[in-house]
Amino acid sequence: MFHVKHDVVVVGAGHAGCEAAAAAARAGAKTALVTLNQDAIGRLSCNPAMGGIGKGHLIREVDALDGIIGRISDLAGIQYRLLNRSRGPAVRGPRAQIDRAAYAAAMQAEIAATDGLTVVEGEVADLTVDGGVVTGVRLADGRTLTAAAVILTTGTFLGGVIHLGEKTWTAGRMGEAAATDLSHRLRALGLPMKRLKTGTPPRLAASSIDWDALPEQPGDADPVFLSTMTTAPALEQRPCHVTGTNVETHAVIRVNLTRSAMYGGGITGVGPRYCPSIEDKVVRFADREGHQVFLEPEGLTSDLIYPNGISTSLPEDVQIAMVRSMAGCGRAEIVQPGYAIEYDAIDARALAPTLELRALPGLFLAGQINGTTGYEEAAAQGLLAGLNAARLAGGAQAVTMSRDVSYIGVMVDDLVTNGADEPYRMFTSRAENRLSLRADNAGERLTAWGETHGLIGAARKAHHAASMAAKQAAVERLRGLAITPNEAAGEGVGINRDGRRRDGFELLSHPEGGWRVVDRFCPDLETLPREVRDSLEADALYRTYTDRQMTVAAETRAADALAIPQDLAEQPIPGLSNELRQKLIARRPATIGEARRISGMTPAGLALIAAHARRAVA
Amino acid sequence: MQLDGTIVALSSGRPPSAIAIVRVSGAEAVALAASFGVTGLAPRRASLRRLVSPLDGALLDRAVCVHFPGPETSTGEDIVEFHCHGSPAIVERVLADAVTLSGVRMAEPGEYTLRAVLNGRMGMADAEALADLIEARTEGERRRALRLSEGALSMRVAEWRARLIGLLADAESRLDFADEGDVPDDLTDLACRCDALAREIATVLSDSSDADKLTDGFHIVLTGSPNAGKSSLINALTAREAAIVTPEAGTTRDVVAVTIDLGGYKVTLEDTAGLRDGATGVEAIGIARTRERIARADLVIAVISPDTAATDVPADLVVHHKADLGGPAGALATSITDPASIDLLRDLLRERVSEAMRPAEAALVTRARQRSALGACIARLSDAAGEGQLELQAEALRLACYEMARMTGEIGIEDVLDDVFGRFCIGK
Repeated sequence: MFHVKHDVVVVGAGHAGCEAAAAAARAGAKTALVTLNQDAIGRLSCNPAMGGIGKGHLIREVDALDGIIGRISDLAGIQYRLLNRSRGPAVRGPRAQIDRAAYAAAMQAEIAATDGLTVVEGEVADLTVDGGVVTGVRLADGRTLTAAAVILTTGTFLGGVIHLGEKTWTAGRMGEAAATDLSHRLRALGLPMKRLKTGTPPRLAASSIDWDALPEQPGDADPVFLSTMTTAPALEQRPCHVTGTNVETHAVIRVNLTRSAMYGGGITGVGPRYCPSIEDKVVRFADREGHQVFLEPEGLTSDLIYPNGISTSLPEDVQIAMVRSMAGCGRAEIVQPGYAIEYDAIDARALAPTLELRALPGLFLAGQINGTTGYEEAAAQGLLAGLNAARLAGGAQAVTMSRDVSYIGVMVDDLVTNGADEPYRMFTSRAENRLSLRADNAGERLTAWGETHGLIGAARKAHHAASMAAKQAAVERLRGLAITPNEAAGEGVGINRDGRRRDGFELLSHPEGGWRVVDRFCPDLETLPREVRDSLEADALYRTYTDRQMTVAAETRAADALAIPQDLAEQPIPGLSNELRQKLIARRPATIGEARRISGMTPAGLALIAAHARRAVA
Repeated sequence: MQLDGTIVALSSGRPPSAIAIVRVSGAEAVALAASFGVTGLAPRRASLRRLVSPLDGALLDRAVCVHFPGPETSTGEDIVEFHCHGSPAIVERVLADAVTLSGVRMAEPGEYTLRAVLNGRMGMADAEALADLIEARTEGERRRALRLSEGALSMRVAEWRARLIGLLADAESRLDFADEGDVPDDLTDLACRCDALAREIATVLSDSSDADKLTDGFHIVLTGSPNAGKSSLINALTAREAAIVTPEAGTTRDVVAVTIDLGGYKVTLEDTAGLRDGATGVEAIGIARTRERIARADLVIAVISPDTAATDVPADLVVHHKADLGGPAGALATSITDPASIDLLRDLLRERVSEAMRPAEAALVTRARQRSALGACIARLSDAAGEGQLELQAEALRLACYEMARMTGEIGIEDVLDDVFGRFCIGK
């Protein structure tokens, strides 16, 4: 029997899988990336875009750890927009339209060029388990791959079922087979599985759309890239166009609602509230007369258009009527219909914060299988799972990421603490330390940490070192400034004439100040790289709040440190609601901090648990 | 505080009294009753039994005994009560014998209530209001505590909290979903709404600034020449022999205070050293102290009598005492020989006191913990109203929520527990 030994085996080559495999290989593990189809590596299942608010932050964090999603996206970016440009730097998220074909090609080239990483084509049908520890995978054709750690990144393929109107069939994506055997195997292992749902809109033929009738949405003139290593767009830039649903569209949908897979009762999985199908929008927001729809190009050489905003599981004939009711789409042709897909996910509370399954050592999970949605969320988990899988193989201690320091930490903590009742998407509001966790300072927060764990390559290291040196020099220069109120007034900055001199940070954050004024006093700082200047300005702007956040974080940390005995869940805690008791048993928080973050935890419940924890300790 | 074991304590007032209730709470409550020879109690039925010492079998008392089976009890545990005769000797002996039993100990102050909270029988806000209710010494304090325990403050806080969450949600939706067509970009009224909420909380807080007045009490200072009869007037008003009364001028050198319950409020009447020019030594010190008291008094009564010289201390009320010796017609006149004149003055004082105490009784915010949390919340709301950038407004609102959470006990739960149970003294 064919038999190959690896350190790490990654199952699935989507965004979680590619990032996991690349991270494991960077961390020194001999890694195999197993995929059903080599050509499908790096395929974007849904929208042809990367980043956004929260999601752009995640990409920058993966990028700061020398991950690949940001760099590959920039090799395929055909339109850049910095979202929330009118807001402050903490909530600005870089976003790019992606050329699907260019992305897949760049990703496949990246994977092929990565040392220690091999691609294996095949279907993983089973896990091999020895003594309660995962030892590898068995392929459908009988081959086995042994490894110290296995990472499952099954996306929508695990037990995938497509719904399109009245039709239902087994598939992982349109036209691709699902991973059915593995689904049965995981259920047989007794893991806490559940069904989730997502959807995608129909794809339209670009040549069938009346572009002149539609307003154009251009990209930013001054693009902000997804990777800090990128200095210029790799491809020609393209605009998007804007159309929308209207009263007629909604009438078509309403009349045919019972023919939708979602409303016909065929789907049991839970979908995301923040990415609703057009059927959902029409039902839940019945008073709206229209919803915006962005027509996004799928690539420079593609004739496909992705109509962002009309994900649907209505039958094809209804989809055509619906699309043709929209402005500019009167003669539109559907190349591939929209559909809903149900898939298996695991209750992420079964995971350790290392993304290893508590009940099955050696098995790591990342991406949609953990209940998340989105390429960026998947890649971020892939990176952490890949790093920890490599560390397990190499005999090193697993690492975790704190929610105080990164969005990755926020996401993993949310997932393992609360699980995900609906597909989990990143928002900036999920981060307590939002003002500190910015896209502009991801490197400052994470690259040194990545270096100690062997994730950072030579080019990134040099780039980061130069950028940090420049920032540190500028910080000292700004601190050293001592501007009198008179001097400031000379530059149009009104400051109390209290005789106190102001440093450069105070001038930067002053409403009438900023770089324009600071440059007058420190002309040498004008030549700093833009990302360094942006980052300094953000530091100055948020200083008051970030200082206070540190105080709050320290207080909470102290209160949260109280240990909860492992057997507390079994003990009677009179007055604790049955719901909270079940959560306590399922989650087994080790500290009051973990208990606090259990969703639905009430102050009274927490007080009870804290008192009983203390009683047990006494 | 140790929280295990069965606890026992005297739950009624200090003996001697008509009856004294010894209450036992915990897993061993029924076993404890059996050790005292009390068995076969029907749930929630009063039964007359002989209490026998578990140590030497001596008859201690005949008591009405009640068994309340847990968890449907005030503490959530088994409770047994002995309603004994209210003799100090009986109570001491019952308690002393009880704590010799294994697993039984005296209750810590507030432990019955702590157990009630821990066992989910009572919420934190209820416990705090109950603490106030139990500590209430006057009708006014009782009325306020009862109103608060019925949710007068917690309902306001719940409403503020909901509005705060609404404000933050408005800001967050603009920050996280800026690229969604359905979320309008403009949020011009956020600052106004933050300001309005801050002002509303501030009003309740400033209306509560006199909250402590209810427990401090209303202070009345009596001034006048030595021998004007201040002490005798206080004695008549309070019907107690609390102040020293002698015919020799200048006897009352220091301030003597008598505290009474007047119309449901705590009122302190202060007899002061007479104000006399040219006093020296101890008397001069007394006079200085009198002036200090006058400055801090809620009401100053100048007592004038026909047989002493008038002093020119500014007073809120002038009483012509010793009216039986003469005095101006139509003036507020009293005489210890005329009880009706004393009653008249007492009624007048009662009216003044209840008018002055009304805001304190209406106060919703009565605790330093609440005041500091709401004060900080107001400050963060004002920050939110003043910030120019939406993400900074959101940040200030998050901090405001954090402060508001201290009111509802979500954060800093340890401080709340300490505050509640440190102040508690029931079951003893």
